[in-house]
Amino acid sequence: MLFSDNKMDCHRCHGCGLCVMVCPVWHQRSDVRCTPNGYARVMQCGVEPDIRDVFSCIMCGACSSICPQQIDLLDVFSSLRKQMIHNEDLQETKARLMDSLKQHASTTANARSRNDSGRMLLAGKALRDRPEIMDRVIELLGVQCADDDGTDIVHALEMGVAIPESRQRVFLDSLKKADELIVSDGLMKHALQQWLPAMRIQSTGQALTTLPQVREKIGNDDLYVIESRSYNTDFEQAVDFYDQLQRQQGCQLNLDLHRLAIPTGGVSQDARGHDHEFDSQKQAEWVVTGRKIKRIIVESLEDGIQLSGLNHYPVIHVSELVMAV
Amino acid sequence: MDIPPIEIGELPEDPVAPDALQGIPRQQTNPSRWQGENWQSFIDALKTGNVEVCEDYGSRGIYVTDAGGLAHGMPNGVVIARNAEQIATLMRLAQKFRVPVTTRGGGLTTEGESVAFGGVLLDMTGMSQVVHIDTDALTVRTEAGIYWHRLAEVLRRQEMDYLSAPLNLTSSVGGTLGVGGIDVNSSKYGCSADQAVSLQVVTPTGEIVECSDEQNAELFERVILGYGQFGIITEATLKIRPYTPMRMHYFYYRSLRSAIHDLIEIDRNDVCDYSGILTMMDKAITLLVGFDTEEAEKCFLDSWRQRLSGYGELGFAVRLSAYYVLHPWRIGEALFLLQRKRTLFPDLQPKHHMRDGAILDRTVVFSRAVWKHWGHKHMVIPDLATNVDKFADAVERGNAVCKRFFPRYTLYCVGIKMRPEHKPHYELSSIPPDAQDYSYGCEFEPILENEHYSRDYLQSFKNAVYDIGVDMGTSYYRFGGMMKSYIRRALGNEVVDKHLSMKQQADPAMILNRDVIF
Repeated sequence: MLFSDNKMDCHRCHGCGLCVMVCPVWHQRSDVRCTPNGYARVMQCGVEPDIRDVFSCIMCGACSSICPQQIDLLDVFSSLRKQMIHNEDLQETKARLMDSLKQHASTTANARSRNDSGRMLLAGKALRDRPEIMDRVIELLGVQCADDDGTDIVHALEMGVAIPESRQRVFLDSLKKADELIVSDGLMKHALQQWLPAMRIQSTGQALTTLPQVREKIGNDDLYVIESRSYNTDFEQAVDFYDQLQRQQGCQLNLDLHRLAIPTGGVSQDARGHDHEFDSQKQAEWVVTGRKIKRIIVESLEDGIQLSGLNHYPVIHVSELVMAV
Repeated sequence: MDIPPIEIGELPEDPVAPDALQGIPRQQTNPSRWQGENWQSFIDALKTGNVEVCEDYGSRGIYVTDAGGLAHGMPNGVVIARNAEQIATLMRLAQKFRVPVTTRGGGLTTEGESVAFGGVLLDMTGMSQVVHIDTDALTVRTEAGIYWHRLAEVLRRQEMDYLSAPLNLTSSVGGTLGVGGIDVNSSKYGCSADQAVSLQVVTPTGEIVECSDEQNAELFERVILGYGQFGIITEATLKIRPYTPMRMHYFYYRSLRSAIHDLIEIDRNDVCDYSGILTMMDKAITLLVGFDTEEAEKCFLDSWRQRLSGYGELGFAVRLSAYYVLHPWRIGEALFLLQRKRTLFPDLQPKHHMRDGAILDRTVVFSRAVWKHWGHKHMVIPDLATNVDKFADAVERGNAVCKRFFPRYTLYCVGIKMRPEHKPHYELSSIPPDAQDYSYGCEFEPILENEHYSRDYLQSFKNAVYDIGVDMGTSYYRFGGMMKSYIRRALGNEVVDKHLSMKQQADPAMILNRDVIF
C-alpha cells in the first residue's frame, strides 16, 4: 500500500542491480546512491539515504516491475519521502501541496455528466489544460469527466505529503458510483488500484488504443510513446497488450530491452516545479535516439511537451489520430 | 618487460589461523593489511586535486559486500569515477601515500574481490557513456564502467549488439575484461575479454595509456584477464556485430557425460552459434543449442540432430517419469523438477520476447531468469575451468560435491574458444594453461531459496569444489579474493611469482586491488 511503513522491505534486497539497469535517474547521474539498490544498501547499514537522492526519483515505476524480489519500490520511495518531507528545504513545496489538498477537501466533487455510461475519466491537469483534446477523448471513450481528478493527490503522492483522510474520502466517494475509471496519470492509477481494488481501472492511453478507429491509424513509421507510470506499475497486464499493438500495427514503442516503458520525466515535473533536477529534455532525446520514424504519438501530454521540444518529429496525442468525431 | 628472477624461499609461518590449509605453507607475498596510515593527508591531497571522496557511512556502506555476500569490508572513502584524469590523480596520490584502492564495477564478484578492506573504493560505474559506435568497422568505444545491459541498449538503437558478454547483464565491461566473461556463444566468439580491440588504462602509478595488440602490447597483455592488478580500464574498444534474434533448441539427457560429449562435439564442429549445458541436479540435464539464422538452424536439424544422444522434451519426460516410478522414494525430487520446469520455462521464452520462433534480447531474458530463479543474497558459484580432456571428470566430481552439501543445485557448463595469439594473455587466468583451442568451465550453484546455511558451510562447499581443481590441475573462473590461495596451489608458484614480480614493478606500493591475487 502507498504510505505504508514498509521501508523494512529493503532488507529483502540482495543487490542484484536490475533496478539500476532500468533507472532513468541512474542513466543521467551514474551514481548508485540515487537508485533503489543504493537506498537498500544504505538502509541495510542502518542509515537513512540522502534526502536529495530520495527526491531525485521520478517515480516511473520501472524498478518495481523488474525487482526479482517483488519489492514494491514505488511504495518504499513513498514511505521514505513521507518521512523526509518534513526537512526544512522542502517546506515550501510541502505547504503548497497541503494547501491544495485542503482546498479540494472542502469541495464536493460533482461529476459532469454527458451520458449514463458509468465510465468516468480522471483527466489530470495536462489534459484539462488542453480542452480540445480532452473533449475528443471524452467523445471517443463515451465517458463522464470527473471534476475532481485528484491532481492534488497525485502531486502529494509524488512528494510524500500525507493526504488528509477527509480529502481522500471526498475523492474516493466521488468515484465509487462509476462502473469503470479511465485514468490519465499512472501514479493515480496505481493508487486507485489499491484504494478501490474491486473497481475496473484502465489507463487513458490503453482505453483509446483499444478502439479500432484509433488503433488502425498507428503505423510502422510511428513511435508510440506509452505513458510509463501506468505501464510499469501494471506491467504483467500491459506488456501483452502493447506487444499485440506492436505486432499488429508495426509501430515502435518507447520500451527498453526489458520491455519496460522509458519515461521522459515530464509528468514528474509538474509536482516539483523548479525543484526538479532531472533533465527531461535529455531523457526525451534518448527516447527517440536511433529511431527510424516519421511521427511520434503520445498517450501523455506531459511526454508530448518534452518530445515536441526536440523539434525532430511531429508529435500528436493518441486521440488526435481520429479527427473530429 | 624485463622480469627479474626471484628466489623461491621459505617464509615464516603466518601466525594467523595456523591450522588453515594443513600442510600448505602460508606465504606472505604482499604488505600487511593497511591500517589507515596517511589517510587524512591523502584526503587533503585529493581535495587539492579536485577528486571528491565520500566518507559518510551510508555511501561507504553501499559497497560493504559483493554478490557473494560472504566477504564484508568497508572502505574509508568512496570515489565515483568520472574520467581518466581524475583516476590518474587518485592513483598517483594513492601510490605516494600508500593507500589501497579497490576497483568495482557491477560488484558481481563472489569471493570479495571487489570489496574494499579499508582504503578507497573506486566505483567505476560513474563512467558509463558510450563514446562512439562505428558500424562500418564494427566496433564500439565505451567508458569501461558501463553495464553490459546499458551497452546493449545503446547498440540496439543502431541495430547492433556486442559479441559476447556474461549471462548476467549487471556486470560492467571493464570488470569483465579483467576476469574473462563467458556467454553461451563463447564457444564461437571466445570470452568477453577476447572481444577487446584496444583499451585506455590508468596504470597503478597514474599514467593514462592507450594499449592494444599493436600499441603498448605488454600492458594490454597484462590488463586483459589481469584481475585489475596492472591497471584500471577506463575506456575500451570492443568488437560488435549486427543484432540477430536467437533460435533455440533444448535436448535432454540423463547422463552428464553424454551431454558433455555432445557439447564438445557440436562446439568442435562449429555447428551452432550458441551452446551450453544447464542442469537441475544431475537428473534433468539440458543441452542448449542456438542459432542466429534459420539456415544454420535447418542445417543443424538436418545433419546433426540425429548424432546427439539427447532426447526431445516428450521422450525425456517419459524416461524421467519411468525413473521416478521405479524410485518412488524420490517423489519429492520429481515434484521439485516439475515445479521448477513450470516456473522457469515460461520465463525463458516469455511471449513478449518471442517473434516467429526466435528469442528477442536473449541476454535480457536469461539475466532476469537467473536473478529470479537463482538470485540470493549469497551467490555461491564455485567453478572449475579445464581443458577438453579433463572436463567431464571435473564436472562429475563437482557434481558429487554438490550432492554431498545440498539437495538442490544447478550446473552450468560453457565452452570458450581460445585465440591462439592471445596465449600470453591467458597466463595466470581462468583459461587453464594446458588448454588448447577450447577450454570448458562448469559453475556449481546450490539453490538456496529460503534455507539458511552458515557462512562456514557455504565456504566449505566452495573449498571442496576448488580442491578438485588443485587435484586435477585446472583453473577457475572465480579467481582471487577469498580463494586466492587456490591459485598458487592449482597453477603453481612459478607462474604466480612471475606475475607477482611484474606486479611489484608496475605497482611499487602494491595498492591497486591488493589481496585479490597476490
